[in-house]
Amino acid sequence: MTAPDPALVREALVEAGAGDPGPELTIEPLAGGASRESWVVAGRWVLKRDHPSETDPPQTAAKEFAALQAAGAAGVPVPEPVCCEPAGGRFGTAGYVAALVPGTSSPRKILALDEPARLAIACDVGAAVGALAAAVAPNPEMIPRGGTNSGLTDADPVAAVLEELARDVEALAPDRPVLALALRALELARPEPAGTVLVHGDLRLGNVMVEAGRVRALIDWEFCRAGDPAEDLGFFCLRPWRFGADERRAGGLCGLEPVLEAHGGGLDVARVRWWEAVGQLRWGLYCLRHAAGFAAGRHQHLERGVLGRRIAEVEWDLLDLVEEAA
Amino acid sequence: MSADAPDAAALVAACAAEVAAVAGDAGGATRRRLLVVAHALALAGRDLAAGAAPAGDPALAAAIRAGRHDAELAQVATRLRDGVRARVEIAHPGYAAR
Repeated sequence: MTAPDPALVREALVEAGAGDPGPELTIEPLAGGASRESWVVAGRWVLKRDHPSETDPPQTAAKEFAALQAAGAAGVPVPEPVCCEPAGGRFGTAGYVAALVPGTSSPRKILALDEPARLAIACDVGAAVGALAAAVAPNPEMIPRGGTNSGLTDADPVAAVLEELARDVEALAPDRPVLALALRALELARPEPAGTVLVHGDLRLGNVMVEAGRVRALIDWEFCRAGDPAEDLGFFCLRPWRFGADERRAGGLCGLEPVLEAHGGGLDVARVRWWEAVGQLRWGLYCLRHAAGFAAGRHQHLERGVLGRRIAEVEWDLLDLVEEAA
Repeated sequence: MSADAPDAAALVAACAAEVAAVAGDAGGATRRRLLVVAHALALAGRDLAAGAAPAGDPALAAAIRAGRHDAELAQVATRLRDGVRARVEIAHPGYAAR
């Protein structure tokens, strides 16, 4: 992995009015990020840019940057966006710089906090999602219209996600009755449209930066898109993101009710649980997609190949959700 | 004549334990990669011990998708439980009991 050119990164920072880090600025790799490289710049900023081999990122860097700006302006805690460059610009591939946020996003460390701290963090997440529902991009063209690999549009997130799931179940799991059952249950319990808002798209504790027992920022916005108001909190409730604290539905932190209260947008429990089941089914299809790529020889990434075997857990949890909804 | 021992399942399980032990002595990215290998080997060992994997059921899946079980989705879920439980015990022992 070749580091970005320090002189060009410095130039972009200065031009954006972020301050001059000087000619000796350090650029160090940061682990994580599914479709982006991440680099710590001068210990103060994070530069995220597309992998050179990335041909279909979930969201373009420019749209992700615009979403960060819109979310921040709406009062959502985010890493302060600084500057953005197109492919072939000063960062090499398309990318952007935002402030480095201190703290931890380790679910194990966060879930080890005491109950009052966990409740405060959960309520911070609820309030952040509530604020995000009011986000408006300065340029409407920059509001993400759905990941390029999801095919979502912003016309009706409920209809769009059902179409997406039906297509993917047919393609990836035509012989799996549990996935068919989960999808049919979703179709029969389809909620009325509730409008379209900007959603984070990957909201779980691993993407929540916590310091001193409070949320400092929602990070890693590469799956942001237009979606349903209940979509993010539904995803936050997925059992895999509770890390063993299964009885605490909201991310392993606490029950769902205080989070909905902190959200303040009048979301009802049934709608959030519907989106939780959507998230669970999507997660299962994601696992199958990686397994299929491994089996077909499209990649030799062992961790992603083994991910396919998590489908058994996903099916177990989907059966729980189907029975709970019945 | 009895089969030669240890059998494939036992050998793979022993490899998983060995790699996990080596991972314990490693650090950083190497430790992480070794733990993934240990996990994959342990899973493969349980697969071998369990025998042939159950086949899928495209006919039932298609019937559900066509709406022919709409009045009994919860009952169908209950009937599918045991088969899923067996697969979960291989993929993630203990997960279904939590």
